[in-house]
Amino acid sequence: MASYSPISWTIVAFVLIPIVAFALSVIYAYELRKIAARLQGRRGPYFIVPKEVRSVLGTSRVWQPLYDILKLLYKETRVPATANRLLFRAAPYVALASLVATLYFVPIAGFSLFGQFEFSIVVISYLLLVIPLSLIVGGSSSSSPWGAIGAQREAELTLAYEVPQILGIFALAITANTLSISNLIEFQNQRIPFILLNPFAALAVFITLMGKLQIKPFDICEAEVEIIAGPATEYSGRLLGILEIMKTLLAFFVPTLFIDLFLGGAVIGTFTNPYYPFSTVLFILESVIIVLVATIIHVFSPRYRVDQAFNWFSKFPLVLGVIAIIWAYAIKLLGII
Amino acid sequence: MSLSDQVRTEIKNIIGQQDAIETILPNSRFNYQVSTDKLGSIAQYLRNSVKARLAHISVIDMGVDGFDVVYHYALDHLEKRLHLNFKVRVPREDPQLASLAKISEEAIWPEREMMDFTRVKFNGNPITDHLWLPYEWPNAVESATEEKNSGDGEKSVTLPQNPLRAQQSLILVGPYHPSLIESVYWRLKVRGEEILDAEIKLGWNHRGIMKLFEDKNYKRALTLAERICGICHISHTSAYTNAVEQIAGVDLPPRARYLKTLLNEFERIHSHLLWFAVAADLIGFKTVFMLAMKLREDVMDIFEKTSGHRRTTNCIQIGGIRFDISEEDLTHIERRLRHLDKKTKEMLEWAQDHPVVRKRLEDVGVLPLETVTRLGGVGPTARGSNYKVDVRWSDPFAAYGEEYTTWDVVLDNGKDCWARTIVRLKELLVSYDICYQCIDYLKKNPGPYLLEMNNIPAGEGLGKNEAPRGELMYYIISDGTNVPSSVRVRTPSYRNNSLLREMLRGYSVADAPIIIGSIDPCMSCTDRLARIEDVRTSKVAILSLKEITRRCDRNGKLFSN
Repeated sequence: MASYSPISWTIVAFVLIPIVAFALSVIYAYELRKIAARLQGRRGPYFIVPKEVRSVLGTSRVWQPLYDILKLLYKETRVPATANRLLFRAAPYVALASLVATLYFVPIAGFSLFGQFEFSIVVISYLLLVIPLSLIVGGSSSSSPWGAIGAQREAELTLAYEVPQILGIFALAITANTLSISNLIEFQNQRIPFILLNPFAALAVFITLMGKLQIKPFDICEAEVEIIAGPATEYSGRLLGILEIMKTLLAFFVPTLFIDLFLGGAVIGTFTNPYYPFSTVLFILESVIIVLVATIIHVFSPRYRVDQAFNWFSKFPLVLGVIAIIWAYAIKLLGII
Repeated sequence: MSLSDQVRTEIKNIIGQQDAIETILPNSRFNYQVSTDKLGSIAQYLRNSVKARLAHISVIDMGVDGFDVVYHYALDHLEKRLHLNFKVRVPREDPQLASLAKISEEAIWPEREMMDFTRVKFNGNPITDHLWLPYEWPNAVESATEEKNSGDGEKSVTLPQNPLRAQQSLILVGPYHPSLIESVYWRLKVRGEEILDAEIKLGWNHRGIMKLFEDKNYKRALTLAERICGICHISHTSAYTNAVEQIAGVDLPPRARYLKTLLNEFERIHSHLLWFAVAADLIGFKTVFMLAMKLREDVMDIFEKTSGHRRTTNCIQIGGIRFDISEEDLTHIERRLRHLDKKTKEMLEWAQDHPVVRKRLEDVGVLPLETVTRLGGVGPTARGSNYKVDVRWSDPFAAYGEEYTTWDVVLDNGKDCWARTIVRLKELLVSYDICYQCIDYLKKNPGPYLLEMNNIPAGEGLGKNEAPRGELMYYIISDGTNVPSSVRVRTPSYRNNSLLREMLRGYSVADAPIIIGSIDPCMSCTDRLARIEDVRTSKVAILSLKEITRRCDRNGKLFSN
């Protein structure tokens, strides 16, 4: 049976995890913006503000993604008269709540609230599906044609990337013979990381997570030149702010999940190990590298059309996912592990 | 027997030898006075036997004498510089003509324009909707009694199908939409994401520039011509001066010719780079957008160095160029161009190798050669479908002729958005080559670059220029005073926009921006009207914004019943 933290510590962590995750996600979002800007020949938000404008801008603009969200929270929220008010207003909150709930199941640098739960992988897979679902509901209840088209695209894209993602993740579960994400990390720490053991699964999950993060070439649902902002077209003020918080948190969640599944969770030894504190540094370093890779993909590709993305997802990552499952069986049968 | 002699004899036969009044203008332009009944057979002959292009139809108000309807036929893609103008006089009391739309579909747009702006009616035009005027404007073709009945500014139209039960929906793009920098109003009829039909509405900012030309003297009108387009000002002034110089019968000094060519090519480079940036943005490639805009800054710097302005440089004058370019500047310009040349080649290779770019552009917006010739496409859009029309080649002015510079027209047989991209990128390379040749000449041969101009005599001129978007045409009539009697402008986007309907059909909404973008449309716009469709009653009302604010109750409901 899994062992959980004491109740007092659980309550503290319950509050602390979303705050820390959000703070880190803002920094990752800043990294994405800054590096993309530099690669495109722009300046991007200042890391160190020049002396002349420091009185206006402050010393650093690392928190620029946060300021953008705060601005939205101050603004007036308008709901279209023809929209389904209940669904329209609930959708962003449901999306954010499900993402925050997912965070409790994902170990962050080895620490997790419910990661030890026997079926935590299943729970994560389910909760992750709620995000696109609520976006679809929000978009189609907004009574805007752009929202409807965006929702339709979101549905098609989710169908395309969800299958290879599940295949890739459950290939690991087959190898390690567990459905608990903490046990997966333990398995990797005792033997070798899954990125070496099952690179097919790693690639399939990485690509599909990029689809989840909605970076180019997969930002089809919010293609601004085609359908304004897709499901978010009619959102404004606080509701849009909540959606933005959710999107920013994804920038933290995606690298964390990948590190946990394939890089051994960035854990050095156990709590008693003197080098254990360094695992936090390792965790952040690995996240930064993953965000960097995502940024480079984002910068150097244009947008797919939705049917092209669907075809591509059902060709390349799906095949990888199937190979990953076969590979996992082969490892078991041959007795390598 | 050359084509021009053959065509002229045949036309004289159609009109009748004794009735035929032919005026021969410089640069192989021929004017004919035709009666209304002969027009159909002439159009049939030119369309079917000669394969001439109907470039434009202009209507000139002659006061009590009536209206002069001028049909401009361009045959320059068959024989260099050959143009035929047919003038028809219609009486003021009953200005009616038979439409040529059945013979050549190119006539649909000009005829709709003329019906919107003058009282001349073209009977038999298949589309009677207004192109420029608001939809609810009283129709020129309708009788006067009907106008009186619907004169309260509101018109209700029953939709052919109830939207609640419809299998297809209507998507309105514009006048403000992120994919279009300038605004135009599109109505896309879609099923799911597939476009079934498209309709365009122009006139969001009709400034009446052609009328303004008639109050300004030739030199001031130049400034006006420059302000028609924000991107291709040199093309407009070049076409205008070409027409005026034709009337005056002057020959530019060689240095002015080379300078004019050089400036025109700068404009093409900057415009194509801008288009490339915008096209990249339309398929979601922000990085290439940024890099192409950065490259474009080189050309803008050249403009600033030579004229002192980045845009609207006011460099072309009647009879030459306003300023000379010194040798040091030419060296500097050549260095910048070499850099651009290298970067453009890199970009061409990069675009050719990128899998997603190819996937988004290939087999999208296919435009068969037959459609281009039928609807009269011009510029890179037509050349992407292997239709050889290029004013620089067919009606050479300045230093574009064979005796001055050597270059080739870029053609591609791909017919899709990818072909149009490649044509524009290769045209950039051709432009650099022309620039090098001009710079080479200008460095070695100093001389006069601006002629002293005297009075402009009475006459007619048809000035053309290959703007970055295609064939640009100015038709100027002078009556011997210092003010032009009338000026008519036919822009390249005017022709290419009419192709879009055919291009959009059958593709998805995601492809619409790049298809619209692939012809490089250039429009101006302001919105003064709103279109409201009520799903419950299937009624459509078109009201002014003021009207809507007045009539809406507190819940924002317009249709209260």
